[in-house]
Amino acid sequence: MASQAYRGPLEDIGGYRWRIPKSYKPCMNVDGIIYADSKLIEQIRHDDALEQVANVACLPGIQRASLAMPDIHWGYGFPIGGVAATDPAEGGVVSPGGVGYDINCGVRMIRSDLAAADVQPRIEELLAQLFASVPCGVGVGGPIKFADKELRRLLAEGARYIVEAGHGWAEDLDRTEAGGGIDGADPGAVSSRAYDRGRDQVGTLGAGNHFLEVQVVDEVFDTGTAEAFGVRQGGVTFMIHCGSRGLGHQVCDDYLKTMRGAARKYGIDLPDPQLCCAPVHSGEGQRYLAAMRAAANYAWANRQLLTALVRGAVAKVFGKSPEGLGLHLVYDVAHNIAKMEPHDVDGRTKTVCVHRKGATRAFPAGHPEVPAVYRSVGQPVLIPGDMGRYSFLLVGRPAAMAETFGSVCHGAGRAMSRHEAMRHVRGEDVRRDLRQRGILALAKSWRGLAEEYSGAYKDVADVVDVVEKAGLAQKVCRLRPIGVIKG
Amino acid sequence: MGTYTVFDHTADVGLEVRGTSFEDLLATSARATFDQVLEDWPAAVDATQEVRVRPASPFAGDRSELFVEWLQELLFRFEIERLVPMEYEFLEAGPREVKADVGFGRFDPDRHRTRLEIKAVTYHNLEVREDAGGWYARFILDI
Repeated sequence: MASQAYRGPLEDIGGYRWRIPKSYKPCMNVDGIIYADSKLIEQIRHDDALEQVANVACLPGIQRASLAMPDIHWGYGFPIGGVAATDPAEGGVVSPGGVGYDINCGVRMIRSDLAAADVQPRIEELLAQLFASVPCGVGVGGPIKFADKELRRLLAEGARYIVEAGHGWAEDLDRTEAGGGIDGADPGAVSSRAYDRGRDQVGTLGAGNHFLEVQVVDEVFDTGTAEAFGVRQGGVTFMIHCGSRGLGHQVCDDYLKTMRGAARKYGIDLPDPQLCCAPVHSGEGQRYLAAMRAAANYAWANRQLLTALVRGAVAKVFGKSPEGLGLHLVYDVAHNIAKMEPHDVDGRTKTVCVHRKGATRAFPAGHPEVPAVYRSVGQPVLIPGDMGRYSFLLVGRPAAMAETFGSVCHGAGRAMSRHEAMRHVRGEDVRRDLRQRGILALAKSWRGLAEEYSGAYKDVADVVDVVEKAGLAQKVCRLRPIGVIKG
Repeated sequence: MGTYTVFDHTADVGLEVRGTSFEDLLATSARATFDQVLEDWPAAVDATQEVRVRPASPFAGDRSELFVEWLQELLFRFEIERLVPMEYEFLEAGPREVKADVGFGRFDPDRHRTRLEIKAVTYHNLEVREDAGGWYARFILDI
């Protein structure tokens, strides 16, 4: 069955918010709430995403609303760009489809003391060194192959394991969501097949829409917060986008199989079998969460080792130490994850299971999980755009806690299929076009590059504008790519 | 070998495959899948291995889970051993098991250009059925 345009009810309730009333389907426990403007909502209507928002509202124990961010598009059961929180005390469920195959796909930003004027004349040399140092592409292994005993520790500890092995700084952990490792990970809940896939992929970028970018801060919207985050107009930053690689994909696949049976076992009636789930407090639910946390920790270890490789490459080109170049981590966020978090729901504090599938945590100033160094301003929120335009750094605002379980969008969202993108452009054309716009791209797959061209994505500025106008987060600065590496 | 077409999906890749038999469907679907991964195929078969899969769950009433397990196993061998399936001799082809001697070529990331990295074969709108034309499958690869 092909994707179909949405024909159900959709009410404009103002403030860049749209509602699918829970009366739309008998199974809906809550409304669907979509954050969008009138231009984006017209794009959003054209695939199954809104129907999926309504289906997610049918999950047992779902709280407040089935939420959708302005970059939403259709996925498997859950839409990409969706947020759903369930209360275990009310029979709330956890679903692997609400996290996605790439568990803890996320983004990391490293700042530097370098300015555009330092880097632009040497961009070809810098990019060549990064391309040589950072493993990327299909079938390319990482710099370290881990024995199972080491991998088990890595799954339990996350980025800490990599830092303690000498590949990072202690402060990196403070500046990573969840300290780079979630408690409650169980390496024993991860299958041997997942271990096989993860053994030599730590420190690899992968392919597809994953990337490493060299960026310039080209517009600052909030000078004070930018200063707190260590970024400034004209400063050079590095952004990494990737996730848990084959290990995470396997964990998702393993537990989708478990959950299909579990939904039947617990008598959970679902409008879409791909919402397969189990009660959080069930054996199946607990095992999935434990395995998912292990995979999330793998992703943080991966991005930590990639950070070490980036620091080494930049240091080699500019002839100074990473410390001397000021290559500090700004922050690292997950955008495919499920976490147990305390939230105020109807005047009571409840610990809920927050699924963010293509959605980013955005906690405000004062929240205890915001690193102490940023607590007076709020959590950095990293929103990558497509490679030909820009990315954004935002800061979380209190309205996100009140409405979206502290969540915002994750990126631009695709507007065009890969197949259609290939009908529009060729990889070499994309590379030439980027060069003409001052962006040097190196890729292992030119066809893959073509499928990632700007026209295939929504404009992330439109997405971020809605998030800001809705009060969920605030723009701090815009980052323009000058160099892109893709697998 | 059968035929396949690519259909539009916003973020991933959708494939529709036709085969004259279930074995033909399995072989053509493997070809279609690896055509999304590779721009360049290995020149020749380098190793033969047995591939044996069963449905993942006891609830499988049709061949769809068997079909997914087949493709997932081939993708696993590619990821771990850099093997590309090229030739097939089926010893068993459903309904409860697929067993085949598969001739694999060796993938070299330094020589063979690639296109996409496949995370998984999904169950999203998955169809595997026998009809008047033979066997048909429709599936989506998560990229």
